[in-house]
Amino acid sequence: MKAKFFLALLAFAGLTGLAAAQDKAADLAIIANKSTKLDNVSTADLKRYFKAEKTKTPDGTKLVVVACDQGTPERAAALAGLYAMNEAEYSDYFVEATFTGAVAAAPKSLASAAAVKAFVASTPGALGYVKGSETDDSVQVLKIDGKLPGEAGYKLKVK
Amino acid sequence: MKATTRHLLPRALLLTGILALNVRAQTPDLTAIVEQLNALRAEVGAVKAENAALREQLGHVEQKVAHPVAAAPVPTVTDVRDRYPQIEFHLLGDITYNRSNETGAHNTFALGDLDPVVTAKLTDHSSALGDFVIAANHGDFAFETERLLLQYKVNDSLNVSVGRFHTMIGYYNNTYHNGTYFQTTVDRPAIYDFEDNGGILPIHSNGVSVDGDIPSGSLRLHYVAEVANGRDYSPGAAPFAIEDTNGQKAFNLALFARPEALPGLQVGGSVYRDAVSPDGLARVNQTVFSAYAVYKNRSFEWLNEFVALRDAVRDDRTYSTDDFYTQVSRKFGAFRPYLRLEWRSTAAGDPLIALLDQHDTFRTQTVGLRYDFTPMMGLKAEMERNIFGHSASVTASTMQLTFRY
Repeated sequence: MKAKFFLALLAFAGLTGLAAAQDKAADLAIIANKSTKLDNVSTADLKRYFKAEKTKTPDGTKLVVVACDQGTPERAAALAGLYAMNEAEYSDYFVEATFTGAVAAAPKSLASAAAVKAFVASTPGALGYVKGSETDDSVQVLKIDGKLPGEAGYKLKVK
Repeated sequence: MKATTRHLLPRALLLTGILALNVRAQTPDLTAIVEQLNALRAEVGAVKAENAALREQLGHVEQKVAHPVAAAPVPTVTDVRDRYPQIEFHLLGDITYNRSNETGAHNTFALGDLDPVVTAKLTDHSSALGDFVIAANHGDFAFETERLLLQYKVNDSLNVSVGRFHTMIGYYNNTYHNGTYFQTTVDRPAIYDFEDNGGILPIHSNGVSVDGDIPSGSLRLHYVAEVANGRDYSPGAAPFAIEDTNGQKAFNLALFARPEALPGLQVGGSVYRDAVSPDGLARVNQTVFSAYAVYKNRSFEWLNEFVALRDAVRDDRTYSTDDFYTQVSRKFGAFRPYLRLEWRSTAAGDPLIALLDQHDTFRTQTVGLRYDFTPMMGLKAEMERNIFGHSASVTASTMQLTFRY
């Protein structure tokens, strides 16, 4: 009887863990270089960072935003959740911002999530995004409005 | 012997029968065993295949650990940050077909301005911008420097620009520059017409501009302060003043808010002040006030601006010219219908405006449809009706193909 209960408990724990891992994979994690000292940011501030409306963290660290290349699910999620734009609008936005002098250049984009993570890990002030399941200790995973990827209520989703 | 055989034969037959029956009875069990054996063989095969795949994956992982750079090249800091200058080149242009009932006007195709824009990120903090125009409406092609800026961004609250820029009067002038691609309509509102197109304001400035965020929480205030030469209104003067015509500098101060509570809303205003000394005229103290409220998101835009121009002629009166426009548009897929209404009340006798031959008080009604049929290209079809004073009116229809790359 005890063995059966233990097995059931184990199965439940396993299923719960699997569900959490799946949730994390479905979330877009915002990752930052540890030098930024960012931990928890509001959605509004995050959008300003990615739109280059705000280029420094509260402690004065200059941000270097990096994006994934066109066609990746991470970029699609960022366009929907952070910019509320499609590819054409994103391109227009940064070209127009460059024309006004508000932005010197559009964010650089890298070919893969692994490249983004490695770049963020190695570049002071870097800010990027990967799937929640692809994060590790080399980068700081930011809380958005107090929520981490995989937690209930986390807003940035990868479709 | 015979007796033994007689006894043994029935026993042997009996035993054979029993064995035969027994074998027959056990035959189904053997079949099951064979089936189980086959199933086990299949499982072993699958496990072997899985094992081989895992070994292969492990080999890849070990290879990556041993040679991380060779296995997955990752851009370094140098690749993205340290290669300066980072230069971008863009080009804007348009081709227009215009039809008007104005006396002497002909239906015509017209090449719009071609606008090469070059931006260069020079360092982490500094950048340069060159905005040029190759104009086809001067009887010949002319090359003009519309904007030339060197910028140094200390932080989000202090950005210093030196050079030639669009004066931060109101909203439109410093949001939409040369080139028609980014603006919804075919033309700018009349109040923001360029100097060489009959515009009455100092659209361009040569000088220094400082701007930045003002720590203001969710109100998100932004300031702009400019010191410049001001505009030369002298007859025959080049539309873009290269040097100041007097010792007086023009000052402009602008302030706007983009409240966090309503993304897309921008509310602001500006005050511009200069002393103008056109050839042969008394000095004019010129003041330009502007106030605006703009709401713009992905699909909807509503621009509202009011501009008041006050020309105070020394030993004479102050002449007041007021202009207001409202522009609304809504995007439906690739289509964006729009409407703009503009009113201007021009002060009769204003000596500066008289020099520009812009005496008219007018109303303009513009209605149009923009079709973005492909990224970086748009087609606009527009009708505009200008009503001058209380009687005469001119109606024009325009098709404009606009692009950028």
